[in-house]
Amino acid sequence: MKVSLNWLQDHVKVDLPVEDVAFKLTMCGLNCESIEKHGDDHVLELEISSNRPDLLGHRGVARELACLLGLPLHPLKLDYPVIEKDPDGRNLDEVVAVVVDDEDRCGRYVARVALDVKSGPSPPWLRQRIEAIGLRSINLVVDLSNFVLMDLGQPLHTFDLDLLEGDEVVIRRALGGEKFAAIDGSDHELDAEDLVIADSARVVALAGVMGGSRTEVGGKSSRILLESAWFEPVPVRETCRRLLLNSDSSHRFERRVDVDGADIASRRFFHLLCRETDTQVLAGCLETMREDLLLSVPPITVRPERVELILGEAISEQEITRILAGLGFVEETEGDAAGKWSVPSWRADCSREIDLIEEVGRIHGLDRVPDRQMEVRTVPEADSAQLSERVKSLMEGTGHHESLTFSFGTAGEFVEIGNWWCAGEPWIVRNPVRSNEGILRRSVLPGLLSCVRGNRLHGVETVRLFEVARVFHRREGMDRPVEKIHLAWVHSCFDGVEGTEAYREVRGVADAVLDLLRIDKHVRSSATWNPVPDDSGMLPGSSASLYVSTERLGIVGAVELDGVSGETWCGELDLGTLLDYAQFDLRYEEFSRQPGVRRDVNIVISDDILWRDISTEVEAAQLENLEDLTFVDLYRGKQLPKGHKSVTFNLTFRAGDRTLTHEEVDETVQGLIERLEERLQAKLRT
Amino acid sequence: MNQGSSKDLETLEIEALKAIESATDAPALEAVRIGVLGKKGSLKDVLRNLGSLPVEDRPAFGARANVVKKKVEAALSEAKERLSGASPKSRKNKRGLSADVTLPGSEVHRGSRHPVQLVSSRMIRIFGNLGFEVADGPEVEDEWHNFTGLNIPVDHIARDPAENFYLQDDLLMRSQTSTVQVRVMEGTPPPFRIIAPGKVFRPDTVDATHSYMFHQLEGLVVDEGITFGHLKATLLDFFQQLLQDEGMKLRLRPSFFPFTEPSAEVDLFWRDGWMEMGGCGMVDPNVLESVGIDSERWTGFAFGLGIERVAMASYNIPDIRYFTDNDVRFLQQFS
Repeated sequence: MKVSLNWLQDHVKVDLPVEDVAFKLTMCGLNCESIEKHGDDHVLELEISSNRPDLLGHRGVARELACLLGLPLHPLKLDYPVIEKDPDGRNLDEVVAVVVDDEDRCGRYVARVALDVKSGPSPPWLRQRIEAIGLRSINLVVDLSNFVLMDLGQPLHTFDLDLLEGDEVVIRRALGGEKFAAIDGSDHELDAEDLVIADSARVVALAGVMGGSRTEVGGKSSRILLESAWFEPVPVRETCRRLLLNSDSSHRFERRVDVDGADIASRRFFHLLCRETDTQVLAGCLETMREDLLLSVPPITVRPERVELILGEAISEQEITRILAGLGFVEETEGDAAGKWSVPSWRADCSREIDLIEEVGRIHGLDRVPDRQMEVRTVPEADSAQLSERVKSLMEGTGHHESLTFSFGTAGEFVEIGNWWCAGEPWIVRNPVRSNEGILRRSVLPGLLSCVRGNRLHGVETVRLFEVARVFHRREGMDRPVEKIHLAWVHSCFDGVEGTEAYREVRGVADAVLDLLRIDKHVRSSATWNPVPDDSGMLPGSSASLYVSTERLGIVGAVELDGVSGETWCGELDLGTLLDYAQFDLRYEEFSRQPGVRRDVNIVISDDILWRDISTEVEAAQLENLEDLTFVDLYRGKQLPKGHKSVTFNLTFRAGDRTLTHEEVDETVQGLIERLEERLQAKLRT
Repeated sequence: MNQGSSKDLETLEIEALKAIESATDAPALEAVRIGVLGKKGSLKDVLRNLGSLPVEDRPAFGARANVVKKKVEAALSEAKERLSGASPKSRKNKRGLSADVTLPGSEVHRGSRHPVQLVSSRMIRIFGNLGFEVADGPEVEDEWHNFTGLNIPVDHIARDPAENFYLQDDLLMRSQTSTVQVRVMEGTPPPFRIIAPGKVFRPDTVDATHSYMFHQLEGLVVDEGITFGHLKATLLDFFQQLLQDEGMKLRLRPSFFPFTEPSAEVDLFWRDGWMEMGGCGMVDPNVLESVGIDSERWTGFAFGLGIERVAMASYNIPDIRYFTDNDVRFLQQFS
């Protein structure tokens, strides 16, 4: 909100440079975002929090400043001369009637009428005030109602009484489909949720939001009706949102105006109007008030020791009293309430002791409270957090750049990887920011793959990315998403390794993670990789999925990316579940210090037989002293019989207590070869 | 495999290398060369026996002979240079290549951690040293944890469907990590000293400083006798350790949040100006009471810091969108 320094001076005599005023206001919660010079005036742009509608007027700001500086706030003049009857001899209630049809929405309505209003140009002081804060001067009546709005934070509305049809003003719900032409030139169709001010013919104002063009007060108006009201905040907000209409008035009504302020603002308006022109105001006012709004919160006790417990600094009782009184709270002196504080009508945000302690802290200065050290405490680092960090370090160490993609997925997110992995209905977002990001992602890969495309199209030739993030799945019987932590990685190269070598590279990352988590050691050999089905969506023959026991916990393989040349490889693991299986204890295992014997074995075997079949067979053979089996090479070529491939693997033998002889190893290997020949129709390659 | 022939090759290699080493002048060296590699040299001799080997062993034997030949040649050329009196500095390496040591090393593929994660880890570490444990909560929340438990009334603007990502009634992407406060307090009795880093979601218009998904680090302390002064000291300690800069300043500027009272914005002065790093305050008694904690006995503070804000300030990153663009040329700068 724009606040003029000269205008503040109307309420409190401040003798400080504008920068000091801005700083003081900032440090009590009215953040000053900028200071602009305007003639001999300065205008501060203040950020007012939503719980303080009382600060949406100069007097409210001045009250804070007066309390901060220990200065008095000047009293507000509200008196004006009145006449009892109009020239036709009618009282106010004979001239016009106010009927509030919907007290739930319109809690208070105050109407007064002035006759013979000469609404010419505004005097210089008024023009300066409202122009300083960016309003345009229109005529005396309009300018004065704007002035009171910006002074007291109470919206006022003036109607040209001669343009109203009939002699009744009704505050009611709009009829479905009722039309309304607003003062800003916009046209609206209303519904029964909108509250309106109407005469006998039609809607003349949208309550709390904007007046209608038909009863606008022009320069020539002679009889005006001034409305000062209290409208229920939430419906005003909803009407504004629905009609995409906002105003300085609705901004305040939405935040709840001071219920006592309605009458004060009305009288202030007529005080100023009568000061500037020879207007005749009819005596009395037409008023309605909802009963519950008359009730105020019970007076509040403020314990100095509680103030100290919350702030960490002892504030004297005198200081507490000075601050609260300065802000308009009233210390009760009689009966049960003696010593308690009554809350002023404009502070609907205060109803508890803590609210008043905040006020004391705010004005005293939260920044002045001395620092107090907490007791020293140590905490253990969680095992899973440590392991998770080590997984990320592993990914970094293997050349992957950690990425950050959005948790939202797109309808077509599984075009590349297919929906076999992470199948299931997605959770739908009702109001996505981007129209295509309407679901919660079930896999991290689509996001990473889209980054691969972005990078490659920008000319980055080698792209290795990884991300650890949550995905959102559905589970039968659960009414909220199952959130899983996934690790995903991608590798795409303009001119890199291809085929089996590339597969082994991307698979190697998965194996390294499983090793790091000691999955194989813990969940004894139950981690297996199977080829994915041909219709999975991933490139068949190049993709595999990881099973631990019967759970599918990962996938690696190749995908085709539109517009990206070369091969793109990717993998994803259900890291959260794997972490549950992980073995945290590190324990040294004795190893044999005897020399080992290595043998390469090169066999030719049918293409249908997988490495897993071979390794299973080797394992089943239970070779004596076999320490390790390692895959070395796979080769296909013209030299080999059709439908066959050559597979080379390496066997390491080692005994715990002696040096093995070549002869005994050769014998063992020969036994294995015979077994492979018999069971897998393998042939030793020469 | 014919062991005899293989052994011949081995002997030949050892003897030839010994002779080359002991040659004291160029003619002696030449004599060794002719003796081994010449037409009637010992290597040719051995190779002549190739015919007597079984056919399947011949390729392997040939390959082995070739290796021996190359080794002898390399040793000869090295000895020649030694005998020609060249200075040690100009000597070639074993492979006979003149090493240009000013060449760059070959590329090692190094990855990197994301700047947001780097900062987040650092923040977790510092708060760990200050005695804070890491807590966690779901990213999809119900209205109780996201609003009601945090003292945000039913008609509050923060609940507006347009201000949040709702999945269905009573289920939304969390709009703040404060939800974890409620979850922690529901689950265990006080005292608490926790932090909860994580993603939060708000349908803001995207620009250089706003995104619809970003990271916060929430902190919560509840204990007997906890005051605003403790909050101040904790945040000051944290930022001093984070920035390691005498010139930094911290100020707590009164503000409003429904779940804390008094509430304040955390303003950090660093390098060239003031920046808003997040919000903080004393836990509102309603928040404590809603999870059954006696607010007369227990008091506490809470704070929420924007991790992207800290990362942008720390690394001088001008635009929050860079974090989610994932351009390798951006990411690799943090390796």
